[in-house]
Amino acid sequence: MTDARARILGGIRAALGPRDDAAVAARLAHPPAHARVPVDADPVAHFLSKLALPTLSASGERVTSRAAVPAAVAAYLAQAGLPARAAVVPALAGLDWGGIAVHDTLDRDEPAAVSLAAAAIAETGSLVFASAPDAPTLFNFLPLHHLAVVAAADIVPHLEDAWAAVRARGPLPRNVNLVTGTSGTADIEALLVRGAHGPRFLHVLVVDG
Amino acid sequence: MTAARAQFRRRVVQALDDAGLAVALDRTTTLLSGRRRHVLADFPDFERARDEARDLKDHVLAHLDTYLETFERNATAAGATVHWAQSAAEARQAVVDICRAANAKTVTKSKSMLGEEIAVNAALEAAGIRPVETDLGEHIIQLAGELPSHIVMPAMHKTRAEIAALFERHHAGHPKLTEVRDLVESARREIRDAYFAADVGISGANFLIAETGSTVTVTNEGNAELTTALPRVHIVIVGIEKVVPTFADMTVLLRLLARSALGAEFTQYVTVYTGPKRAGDRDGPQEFHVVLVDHERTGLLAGPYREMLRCIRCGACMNECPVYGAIGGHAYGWVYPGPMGAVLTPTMLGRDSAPDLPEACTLNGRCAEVCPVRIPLATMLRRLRADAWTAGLVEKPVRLGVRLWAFAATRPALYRALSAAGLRAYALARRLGLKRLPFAGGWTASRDLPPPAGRSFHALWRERDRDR
Repeated sequence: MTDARARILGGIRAALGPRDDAAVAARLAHPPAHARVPVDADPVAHFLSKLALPTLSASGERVTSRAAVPAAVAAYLAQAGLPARAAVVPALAGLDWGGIAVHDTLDRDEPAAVSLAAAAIAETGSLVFASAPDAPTLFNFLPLHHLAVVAAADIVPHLEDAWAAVRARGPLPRNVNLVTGTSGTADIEALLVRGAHGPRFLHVLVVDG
Repeated sequence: MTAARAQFRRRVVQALDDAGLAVALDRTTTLLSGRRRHVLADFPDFERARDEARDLKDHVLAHLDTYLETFERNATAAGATVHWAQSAAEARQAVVDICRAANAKTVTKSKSMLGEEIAVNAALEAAGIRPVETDLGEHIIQLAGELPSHIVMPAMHKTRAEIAALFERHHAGHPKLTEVRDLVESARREIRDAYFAADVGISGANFLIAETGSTVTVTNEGNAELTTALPRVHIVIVGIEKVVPTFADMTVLLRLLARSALGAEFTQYVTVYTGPKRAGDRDGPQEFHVVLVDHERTGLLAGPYREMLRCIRCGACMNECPVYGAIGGHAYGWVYPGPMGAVLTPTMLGRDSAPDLPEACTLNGRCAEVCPVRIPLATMLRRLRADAWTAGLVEKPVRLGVRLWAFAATRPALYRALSAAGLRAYALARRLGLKRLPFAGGWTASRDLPPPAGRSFHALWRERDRDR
């Protein structure tokens, strides 16, 4: 395998000829500014308007504080015709879940799971999840109904801001997942169907407090 | 005629006779190209972003070895094992070796065009390992034993009835389904079992980020995440040209990718993978491998088609191409169809493998107009034609015809005399009932011969000049 490495790098060097790599160090240290997509002055409002678009096929609501999250989850489960039971990430286990039976493991066909986003992006209407011991990745992908909690203060305007927010927390985690609306596929006769493998339903709780 | 030419022409005739394919092609290309135009309205700086994307790709290619070494260093520091594979055979072997070391029986795969390119599934099967494609389109063509017909929507040529028949035959319980939603549900159930049974998950990578040693997937279904978070081992197979310097550079390309590929602002899932499970992680792989694959890319780097390495595999070019729109992906004979396939197939597999592809082009240039990284596709196809001429690959009748035309065209008086005589002969022949033109039987078999204009352009021009 080291032989292949030497052959490939040798082939590249032969193709490129002698050159100066100062440009590489310079670019890694100071990436140039790039064109962005315009975003409203209020990223929270912009994010919620993206969530409402049919292209995302998701829903959202504002919640006054973290303490109000369990009630909002209970209301969602009731209107979806689901029992008062959910898988909840360890990061949110400390809330008072009241009448909802919570567990922190995931069934293969988990009906509903609640997870906590590290940030959200107004530009695209995306949620940003960073894997961690108290925030396993699969809570965002296994369930049929995915409820995501994100603090309004963690909603940033652009993609670049989201990367910066995650990297400010420390070394990159194993996964950073951007989730934008619900799973979908148009592979059969170009007809869009939601819930291909990931969640078919996504409900976002934007917490103000 | 060479075997390759005969095969291509047979596939083209077959495709043109396929009414169902025509419906599928029209539906898919019209939908995707229309959506693409629509979605650009919300991105005023789109053209600037294309310039930035082209420039960053050219910069990376000009320093490709340094960026690959930077990626390798940072990936290794994050706990990844980085492998290098120059040929398709070496790449297949690397994947099989990792799977064998993991005692893998079942492997789940998320969509990887590179995987198709190096034919990794066949190698796994030969090693007694079962690969399960999880992307719905790839799942369908895996069951059908076919190649993809579009790089973004691989099963776009299949009708729901054909897919229902495949699922009835292969899915547990042999369901008899008709609705598209039910077909998707059946695949969701069938593949979910595979996710949990898999010992190894294989993914591709849309990008490699040098500054952190991360890989990135850009998908819509959630299958990449389920493929890679559940098994003990995650293998990324990726072409060496996919490396970008920083997250900022990746973001430029991210803004272009879904817009160009699907006419969507963004895809549902963008995941950045950096190393294996961390201490305390409850999901994720214990081993994270990245197989960096060359497979003819250093050859492209060294030659006149280097810009082809900018390609981010969006498929916008084939959505605009009238030839792809008429014959579909399978006619191109390999895993990459449309304009990008017409360049990649001869340059990666050798000119002899696909002599007709660069010629099956009207040079309309729409592909280059929509390419997010401004690859001069039409110019490259024209150059490939010139290369084929120089290499003596053009068929004798065509060479003779071009030589005769060149002889006359470089002698203006002779050319005008021949044109004038030809026009009179044509007018006479039509009056006498001529219906078919010699050497143009294919064209005149289904078209009426047009009436001659009467006078040649040169004659009319001379008259106009005199009248001034």
